[in-house]
Amino acid sequence: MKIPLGQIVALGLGAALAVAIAMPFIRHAPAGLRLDPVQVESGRQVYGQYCASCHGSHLEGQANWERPGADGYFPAPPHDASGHTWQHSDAQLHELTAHSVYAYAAPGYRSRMPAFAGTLSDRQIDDVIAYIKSTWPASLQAYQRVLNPAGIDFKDLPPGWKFPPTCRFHGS
Amino acid sequence: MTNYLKTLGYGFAIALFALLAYTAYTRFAGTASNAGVVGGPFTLIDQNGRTVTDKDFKGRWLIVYFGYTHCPDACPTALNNIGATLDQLGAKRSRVTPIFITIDPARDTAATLKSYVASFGPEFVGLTGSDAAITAAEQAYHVYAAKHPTTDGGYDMDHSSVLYVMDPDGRFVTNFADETDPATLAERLKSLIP
Ligand code: HEC
Repeated sequence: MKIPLGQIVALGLGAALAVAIAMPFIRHAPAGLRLDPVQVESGRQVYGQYCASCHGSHLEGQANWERPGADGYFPAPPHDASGHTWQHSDAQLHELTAHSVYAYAAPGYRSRMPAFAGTLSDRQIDDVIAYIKSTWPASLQAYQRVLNPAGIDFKDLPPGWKFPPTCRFHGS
Repeated sequence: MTNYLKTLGYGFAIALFALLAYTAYTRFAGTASNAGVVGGPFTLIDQNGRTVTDKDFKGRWLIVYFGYTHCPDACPTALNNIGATLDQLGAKRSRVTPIFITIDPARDTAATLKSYVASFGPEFVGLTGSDAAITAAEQAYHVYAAKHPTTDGGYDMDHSSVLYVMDPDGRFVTNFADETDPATLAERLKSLIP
């Protein structure tokens, strides 16, 4: 049998065309599912440029972040496992990044966390959140996932994952 | 030439279809596909000293929570919230059984559990068991649990604190953070229970 080379090329070209046209629309996987590596990489760059100065280049936060400093302002908390970023849903993290903490703070509260709504696009904000999540261990990703409305897909977590010990010994 | 164009069209259509199917799959897979990922069969001992298995709860909606009776804050808060949630379920309350599974079987005997769970509501079930049986249940529900020595020579437990909702076939439906307020919980449960 003669292999219809031209036909195969045409089939491939058609498929490539479909991918090229459709990809921009489906790049953003829905919240709570497997993290998109393209998004994570974009978010890593956003993080380095806009967040690392306060939240630390290793997401470690500022010293003594759990108490207000001498100026009365809270320092920037870590975004890694030692902070509590993972205790917020995707929607809350988006709001916190876009408009700072005011939606969740008492009236009159003042914060050093900037509002990035005019500086970063919604997509960039989603990207930076995806990057932050990509640095968490499976247990934190699992926990944060359940805070999202449709975010209970655990299938892609490694076997043996556990929910984080949110109830911890804090006595003497 | 038209022949090639036709094939090009086929390639286009096939790839587009595949992409759409994939997108639809990832978008909607979140709801039903977790059955089996969390939960599973168990054989434990209830607060009356009876051996029970997951089959004994078939036909009932379950709210499952892992904790221990010496727990100073998270466990009583979670159990109080479950109790308050039940109070807001109206007629659907009778379809739900809240289950407390201990992660500290050495101290939480059936008798200890009996008075503890009764303080949160009449329908609460408390489950304990052998170390092996409890460890198996913890693994099935992805529960972290570890002893933490205290200065008085005793111990506390560091543990995951999550509410699990299981359907009448024993399949995992969803879960909630322990501090979820009862109104939110009740609303979600009412929409889940037909
Ligand atoms: C000028 C310093 C500064 C920069 C830059 C900054 N933050 Fe913050 N951020 C803070 C501070 C301070 C807080 C704590 C706010 C408070 O409690 O008043 C905070 C809090 C947050 C929180 C809430 C965390 C929690 O657990 O409640 C999130 C989310 C956050 N920042 C994300 C970001 C992201 C994403 C960027 C980069 C796009 C960023 N921040 C850049 C200072 C900064």
